[in-house]
Amino acid sequence: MEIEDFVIANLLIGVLGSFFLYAATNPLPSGVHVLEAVAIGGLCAYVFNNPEFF
Amino acid sequence: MSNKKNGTQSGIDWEHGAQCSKVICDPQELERTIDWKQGLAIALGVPLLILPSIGYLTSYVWSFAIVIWGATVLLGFLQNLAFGELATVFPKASGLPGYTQTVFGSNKDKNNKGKFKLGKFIGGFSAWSYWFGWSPVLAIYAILISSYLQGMVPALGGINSTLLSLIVGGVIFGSLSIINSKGLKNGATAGFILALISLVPLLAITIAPFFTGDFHMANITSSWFPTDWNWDVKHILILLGLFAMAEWSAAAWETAAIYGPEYKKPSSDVPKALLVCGAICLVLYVLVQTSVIGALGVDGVLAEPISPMLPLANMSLGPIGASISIVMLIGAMLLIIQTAFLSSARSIYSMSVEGNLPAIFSKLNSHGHPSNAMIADAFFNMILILLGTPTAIIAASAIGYICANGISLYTYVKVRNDSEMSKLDRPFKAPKGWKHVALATTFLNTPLFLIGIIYLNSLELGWAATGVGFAMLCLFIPLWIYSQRESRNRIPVAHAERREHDILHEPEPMPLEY
Repeated sequence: MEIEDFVIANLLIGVLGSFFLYAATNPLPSGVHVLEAVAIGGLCAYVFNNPEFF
Repeated sequence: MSNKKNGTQSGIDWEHGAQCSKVICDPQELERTIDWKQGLAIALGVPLLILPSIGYLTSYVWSFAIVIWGATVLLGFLQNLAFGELATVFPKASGLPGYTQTVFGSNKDKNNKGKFKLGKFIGGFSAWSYWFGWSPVLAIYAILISSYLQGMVPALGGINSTLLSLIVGGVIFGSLSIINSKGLKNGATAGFILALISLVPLLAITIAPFFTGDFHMANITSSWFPTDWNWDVKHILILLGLFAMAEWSAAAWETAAIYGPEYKKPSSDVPKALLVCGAICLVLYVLVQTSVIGALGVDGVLAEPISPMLPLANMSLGPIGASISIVMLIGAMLLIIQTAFLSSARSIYSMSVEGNLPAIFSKLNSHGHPSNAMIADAFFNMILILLGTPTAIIAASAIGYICANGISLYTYVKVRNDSEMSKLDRPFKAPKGWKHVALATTFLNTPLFLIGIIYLNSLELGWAATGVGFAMLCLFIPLWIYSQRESRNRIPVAHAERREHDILHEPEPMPLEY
């Protein structure tokens, strides 16, 4: 793994990690937990299945 | 500088004038006119960055804010030793944005082959993040100065605050543009004068409570943390966010390195300016927060979160002291604006020289000063003033600063790992094994501090501030694509060869005596 990959990975972990942690510790604006779980889960599934997306 | 060395004083290579194009023959390098003391004088605005955050940190962690400031300045030493070494390896590069663009943007790097140059993009993005971390300081402090003026002069109370901020911003940015357009030496003189009129009263107000008997150690020892503080995930995230906010202020003394191409003897001037500025910051950041909490108590600070220095001055020096402190604060803000103005304008210039922003910003005036970059910076901040609220701007720009710090530390690791760059001459070298220290601090910045600051922003200000931060950072993408196209169209081979030759292969010319 090269430094460039580390940079991209760390920035993405930072952004996505903060979203997840915020969602885990605070109610999201919609207030519908099922909807939020599906949306976040769907986003995760898509990103992990399409690593070239970034 | 090589042109001057060859005997020409205008910066234009007359000898080969017929053969070369305008792009190559125009003065393209900043002039080496300052020594480490002058660089330090400009960077002395950094200790004053604590002022708007004293109340903010206290509101979350009470007296533990003292530890956060001290730890952050020490973290700054770990990081800035690496940046000091980079400054001597690449004496022509402008601070953090210059190093990342030079190292990641090398045309020899395999990541820069093909149509999409990943390395070049990362280097440019880091420089853009750095610029976004520094530039909004201008707008933020112009708004604060106008607000202090309205509080101090009753006649100004009826004027629309945004209009007054625009007038104040216009006058300050215009004046500093004129002063700085004569070259960095003038900027250093202005910085030195402002440092004297702002740092001396700041020190006096800070130290006075220790002699007047107003300082009580019990105010600190009895209130280290809020009563409802827990060491759970939520509070650890808040702590990380506070460290990120503190880093925006307390580790910002890396700005002393950004004048690398303008120091007479970069290999010795840069480390000296960095280390002395760091030592001053370590003393002042800890001392100011200790004095404020020790004298006012946590409740006293929280009663005046924006300007706790005012009640401190009142308590220790009386009403006259309070008046002096307002004038001092305005002087301090001018100094911060000056520091940020020079840093951010040089970031724009550096990005433009590397082809990561449109070429118009790399134009230097006859004094070797990036005047177009400075005008663009001033214009951008006049627009920011229209937003009216500085808090969201600070929160958004801290995201940029953390990204820039993280990527810049990766730059150091890359240089130490690279077989060619690790052999380059480095008059100042960080201690052995510093690569691992840099790597550890990198992880601390990205992702940990980044997670913390985004979390804290969303908690404190909602997603708007985070959104503004992301939008500004993403704005780099279209600008970069345009600049890359522009770079390809203007003598691409000559430019690339010149850049590679300059940075990585040509021996650094001896420092010039003026």
